[in-house]
Amino acid sequence: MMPFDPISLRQQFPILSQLAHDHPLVYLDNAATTQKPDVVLEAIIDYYKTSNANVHRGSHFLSDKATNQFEQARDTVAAFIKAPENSHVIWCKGATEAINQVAYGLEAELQPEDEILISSLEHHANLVPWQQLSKRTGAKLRSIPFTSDAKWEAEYASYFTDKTKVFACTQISNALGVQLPINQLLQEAKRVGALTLIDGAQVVAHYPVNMTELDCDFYVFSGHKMYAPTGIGVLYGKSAALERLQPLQTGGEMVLKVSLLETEFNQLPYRLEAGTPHIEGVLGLATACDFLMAQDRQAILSWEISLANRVRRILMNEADIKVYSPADSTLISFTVKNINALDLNAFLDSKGIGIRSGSHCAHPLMAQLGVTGTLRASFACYNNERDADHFVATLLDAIDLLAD
Amino acid sequence: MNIEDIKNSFNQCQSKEESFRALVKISKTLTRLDTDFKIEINAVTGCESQVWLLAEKNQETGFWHFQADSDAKLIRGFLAIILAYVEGLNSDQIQQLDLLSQLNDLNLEAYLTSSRNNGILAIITRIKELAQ
Repeated sequence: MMPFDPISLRQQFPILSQLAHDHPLVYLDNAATTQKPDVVLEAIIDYYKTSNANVHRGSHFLSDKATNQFEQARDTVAAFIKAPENSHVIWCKGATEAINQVAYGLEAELQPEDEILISSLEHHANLVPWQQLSKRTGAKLRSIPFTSDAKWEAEYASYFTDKTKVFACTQISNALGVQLPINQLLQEAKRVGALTLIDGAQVVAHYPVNMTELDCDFYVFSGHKMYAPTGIGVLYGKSAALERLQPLQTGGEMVLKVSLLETEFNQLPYRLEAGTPHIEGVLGLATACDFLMAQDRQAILSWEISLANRVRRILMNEADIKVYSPADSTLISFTVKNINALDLNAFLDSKGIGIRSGSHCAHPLMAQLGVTGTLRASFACYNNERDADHFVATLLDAIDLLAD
Repeated sequence: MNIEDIKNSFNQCQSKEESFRALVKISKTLTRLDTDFKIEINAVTGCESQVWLLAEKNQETGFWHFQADSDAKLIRGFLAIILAYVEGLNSDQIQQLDLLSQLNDLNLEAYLTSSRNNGILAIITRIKELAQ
């Protein structure tokens, strides 16, 4: 394991050493997407320079080389999430597509008297596919409410009934950074026999995950939020759960035998991977997994949380600032009284600081909090104290400038 | 504020930050709308912030007069500039006006790359729709 050194780690991310509007770039929008280390960029280029061919098809030198790397990547990702044997890693575009595959894939199983259960903290990606499935099947969509002080109402167990057929929930809220009591929730879901899906999009860059211990039916995440390329993500599932899914897409790669009127689908994982896959994305994702597994992840996590807290401590003391994120988060989500978020964001951008403002694709949650949006600064392994301090100082300047 | 004054203050801006400060300054010249006018029918959709726009045509002269407001100072700054450019023009003149390139000439291009997001494009489109 490499000892954590924030200086040398940052140097592995070439994009960070540039100016933004004549100021050193400060990138604090990592919950939206992370930057990519040299090793990931090299893996992509290397694939095209040395191994490019379609996988699983031709029987020639390059095709065999590409296929080997591609299937090794599946093993690497399985190791990264500690997937048990009776499970599969399915490639998809990202967490959104993975959730859509599961929601679409279960359509034939749902009846009008059934219920789909989510939390009130969901990103639209883990809400809209279920809402649309509910409209198509008549099954009722329910949401476990979450209180604004980052507490779950104690009676959440009552939401799990024998009608609950699917329970889909985020592990960490993208908008607030709060962690859900996933283990208890999964226990309740299992008690009533529901299929379970956990959205790990905000988790995998920060926390090691262990599918053997977590014991959910499906777990989804996007590569681009964990130092891998865009357009690649993972639908992890237990074999029995994946077997129940009707494929979202059909066509090449996922078939065994086709006649004009009938098709015999291939076995898992290929059955759910129609078309030529995003091969360089897969290789980039596996490289990002290797990159993370070689790090002292506990040290990186502590570093990210300490940076968020460095900001949090100061913002908590400002009378006009309301902080929504808990102290153990790698991000800080907040609002500033009487000052427009777009204005604050524009001033921060003019000083080279990139954060996110808006609803964070979570309209129902924002409505529940009684705000139209928040500002969110989110940290990754390559951020440093200078980033945090420059952000806070500039934010306070912006508030001075913009106060009426 | 007249167009010459606007040009003078924005042409001096050397950076996005200076443009931002100039926009905040000019935003103070925009006459705010009464809350009675901040209603759905006057709202410009497609903006990250809330924007309201009212248009009135002088039937004798054919010249248009606009009033606008936003909850964001940055957008109020843009509205102050845009209204200065379209004030007292007739329908044909407004349709022919290339407001985006006028704004570009004021060193505001750094804000216009994201104009689709922040709603400046929607404001310009709405002005042209109203002044048919």
